[in-house]
Amino acid sequence: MQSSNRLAAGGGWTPYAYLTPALLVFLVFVFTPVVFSLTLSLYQFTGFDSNLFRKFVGAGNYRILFADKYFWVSIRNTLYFVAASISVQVAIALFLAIIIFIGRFRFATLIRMIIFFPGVLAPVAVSLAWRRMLEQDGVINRILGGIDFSWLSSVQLAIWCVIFVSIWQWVGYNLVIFYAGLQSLDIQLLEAADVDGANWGVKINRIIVPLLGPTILLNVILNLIGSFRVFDIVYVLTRGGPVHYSEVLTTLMYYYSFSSNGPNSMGVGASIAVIIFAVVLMLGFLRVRLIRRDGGAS
Amino acid sequence: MRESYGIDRRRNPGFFALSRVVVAVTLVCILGPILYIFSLSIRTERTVYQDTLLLIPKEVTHQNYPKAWNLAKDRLGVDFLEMFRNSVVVTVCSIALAIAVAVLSAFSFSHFRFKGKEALFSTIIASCVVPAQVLLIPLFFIMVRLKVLNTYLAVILPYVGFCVPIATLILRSFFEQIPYEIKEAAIIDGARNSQILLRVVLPLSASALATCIILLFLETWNEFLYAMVFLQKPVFQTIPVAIAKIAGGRFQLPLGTYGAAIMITILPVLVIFVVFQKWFVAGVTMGALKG
Amino acid sequence: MGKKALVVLAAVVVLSLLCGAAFADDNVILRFVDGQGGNDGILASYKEIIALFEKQNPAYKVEYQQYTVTTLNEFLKPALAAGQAPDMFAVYAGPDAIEMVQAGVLVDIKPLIDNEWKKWLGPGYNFKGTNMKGGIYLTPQDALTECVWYHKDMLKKLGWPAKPFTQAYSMEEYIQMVGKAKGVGLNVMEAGFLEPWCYFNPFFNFVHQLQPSESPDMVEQAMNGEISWKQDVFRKPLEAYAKMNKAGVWRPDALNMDYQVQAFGKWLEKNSIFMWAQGDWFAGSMKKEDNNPQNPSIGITQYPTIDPKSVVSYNKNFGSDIGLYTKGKNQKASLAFMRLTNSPQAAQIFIRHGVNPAAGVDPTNVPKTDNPVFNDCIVLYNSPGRFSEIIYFNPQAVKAIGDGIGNVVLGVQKPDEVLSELDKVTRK
Repeated sequence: MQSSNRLAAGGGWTPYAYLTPALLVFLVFVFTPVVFSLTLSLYQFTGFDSNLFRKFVGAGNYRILFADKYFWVSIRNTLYFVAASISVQVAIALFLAIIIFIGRFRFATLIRMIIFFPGVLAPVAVSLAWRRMLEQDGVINRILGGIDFSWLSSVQLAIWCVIFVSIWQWVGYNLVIFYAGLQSLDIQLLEAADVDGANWGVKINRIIVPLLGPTILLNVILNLIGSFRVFDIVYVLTRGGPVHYSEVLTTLMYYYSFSSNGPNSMGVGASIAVIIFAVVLMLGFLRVRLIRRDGGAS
Repeated sequence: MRESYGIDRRRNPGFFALSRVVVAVTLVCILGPILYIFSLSIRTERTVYQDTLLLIPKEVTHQNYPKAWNLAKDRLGVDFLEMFRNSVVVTVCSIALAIAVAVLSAFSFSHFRFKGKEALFSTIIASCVVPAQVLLIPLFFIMVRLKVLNTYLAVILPYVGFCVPIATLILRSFFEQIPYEIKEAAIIDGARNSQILLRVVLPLSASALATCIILLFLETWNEFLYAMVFLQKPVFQTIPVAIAKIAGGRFQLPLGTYGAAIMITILPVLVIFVVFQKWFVAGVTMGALKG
Repeated sequence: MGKKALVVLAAVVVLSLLCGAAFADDNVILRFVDGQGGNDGILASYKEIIALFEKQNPAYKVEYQQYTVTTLNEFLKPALAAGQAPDMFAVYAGPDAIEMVQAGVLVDIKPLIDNEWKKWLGPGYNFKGTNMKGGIYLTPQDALTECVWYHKDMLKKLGWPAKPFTQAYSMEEYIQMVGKAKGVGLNVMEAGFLEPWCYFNPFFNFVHQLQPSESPDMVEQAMNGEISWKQDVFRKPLEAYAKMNKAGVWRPDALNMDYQVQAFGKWLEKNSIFMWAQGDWFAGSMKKEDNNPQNPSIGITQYPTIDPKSVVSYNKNFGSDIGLYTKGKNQKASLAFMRLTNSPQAAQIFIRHGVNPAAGVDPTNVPKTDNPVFNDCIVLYNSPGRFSEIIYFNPQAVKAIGDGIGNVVLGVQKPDEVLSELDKVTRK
């Protein structure tokens, strides 16, 4: 077994002392704004008025939100995003990482850098390329045999195109983490398996993947966070369109808060943020519950 | 030095070939769009929409690059060098500060048991999921109060605020994989906590730290919203802000120039990658256990 | 190793703090911001106008920043909320503007507009978008004339007669063109509907075509709940969209394309004869070989008439309207700058850079440039004829119209469903 999860007993103030700089930064620059925003969800404001708390509406913003059919569309789309990125994206990255790791590539570093590179591109650049490629007479349709279909104007498929591009952009991110995990594996375990005559299937499935457990979990969590926050890719590819059928929670929030063609209601935007925060907080506590039930001491 | 471990070409030719194919296909998919942008940047204005197989231009020119270079100066009052400097300052400072702080907090989460640990951790992570736009106005107020608006700090501080939890998450995960036996050995030798951190944990985490740096780079280099709103003076503009202003407008920009502008911003990143290649390759085994 | 890292870290922090030290300024600086990012004509024009202003007022310097259509509000909202906005800034006429007036961040400049300025503004003085709550809070900069653009040579190839630019082709004609165009290997229309205003502005035009007279503005009445949306004057425009989309006047991709890069780009490449829903900043972006005094091959025509009884109507709108910040410290000087932008001198500067000025042009003596289609635009803006308003102040209704049209085009909703929803919004 890998490391034992024993921890030093709580050393009084020491753990908190080490946390102080992080907590300080976090409190001032993350937590306070978050609480501020969550409170603002109870008010109606446009952002033009310097008196943000002029009009209290209580649950009014939430009522507007739940009555908006596009809110439910955005929830569905966000769930698609989350599901795809914690499963498909992680799986692809894991697969690629293992292949590159054991494949004895001479330019392994270069390859990883290339796969990682889209993550560094500005979203505008990514959208420029993909919008042209996904046009009705664009390259993707040409490759698919000359079909005449408009991907990004499709009510059902637009969001999947966005998800595809998002995976394209971020799979390298997961790949880098997996690779670091693979590099810290104990080779002797694999060599021992070789001595026992194990084939690659066994080595990968029974040794490598289980050992990468914590890394897989890390990537899942990071992708979960990332997919809730996704904004740029959706915005530049479809603006949430056609009409609002590829909105995700963050783009809908942007639409309510900033768009000059929209309702100009930042309070509703803030209420979307509250919902996102609440969901992730719940997921966090759920995870803790699950781990405790398994008897682990993480 | 660990020698590479992997597929033996002679014993598993099928697997070997498969791996080549998979990687080749992946590289084509990844590179395709990027090469498209490069192709755009070398096309003449007249033929910018004409191509064979999307990538091969009808006519080439190098003129787009000087045009793009001057575009920034004319339209934005700042040239690419200044933009690049701004991006570098902001990113480097944010990453440095964030990692320093995150190492401390990751150590705390991974090494100790204390009250409220998971609740605190979950709250910190949940706060990072709140979309940046929502925090825009509250943060703006804070920057005004702290009187750092229009200085680099106005952007560095929120970045650090966001990067620390992410980095803590990553580092904690790697720190927790360090076997307790190693730390136990140090404790028995009478090491204090700070020494455990500096002498035991950190040296074993070179690849985790490198990974962290790379990922935080991703988070901060292309950040656009705060950079635009908190750094209003043209002299402070970072690259993503400039690109958005050049390209995101209501009006037509010659596509070739647009492509060139994007290539100009990509090239320094490539250079940084090449320079920091060693970090990618760092890999430390658990040699300490056996040794 | 640890100590060295700490020293480097400290140096970096100190350096960044120092980098933040304010750049000291001698003159008084007037800050001016708009959302015209990407419009080089405006940029060049303002550079000259600012130089002119600074010469006339040596104690002041004007700092001008262009944001883009989407980023302007991202910048303005935090700034206004924290009381830190620039001295002058652009405002989107409509819901944004009225909110700002209600929040008290814009100065009412009506009492401050002298007779000469009023004369320069001409009909722009009474423009709905700048007149709110009995005062005038914005001053327009550049005129946008929305219309349909086309390649004259391609139209000839199709064998279709040309029309003067104050007239329009009918919806039926466009639909007939579809079949004929395919026969000669042409497409009829490029359109980019990514931004909803690209289709609700023409919608307002269609309604105004069908109104018995130019006023009262029936859209305004419906938005105020005075009349129901469920009538032909609103139904027919929605049906027109559905019809044209179904007939293939524009392609399905239009819903995802943005017009300024993708759709316009394709049209420039002569992928289609017509180009839908634009403002005249296009005039400066034409290929020289298609648009010069020897070969004036770019034409403009009005939005399609959707009914035999339609009266051709055109959308008068401004690209940019600027307002004066109530918390600004240099209001008198800023106002002087705003006044200058509407003067005949500024108008000449604008025209020289291919921008259609909103004020300062004498309609009896419209200047000519060597950009033929730009000349047409200036004449059009200063011509008589039915006027279509497109500025409305009810954000929920505007949103519902935008979404509704999109859904009708997609085939997801029928026109009557959309109209019922609109009634629910305005007549609760």
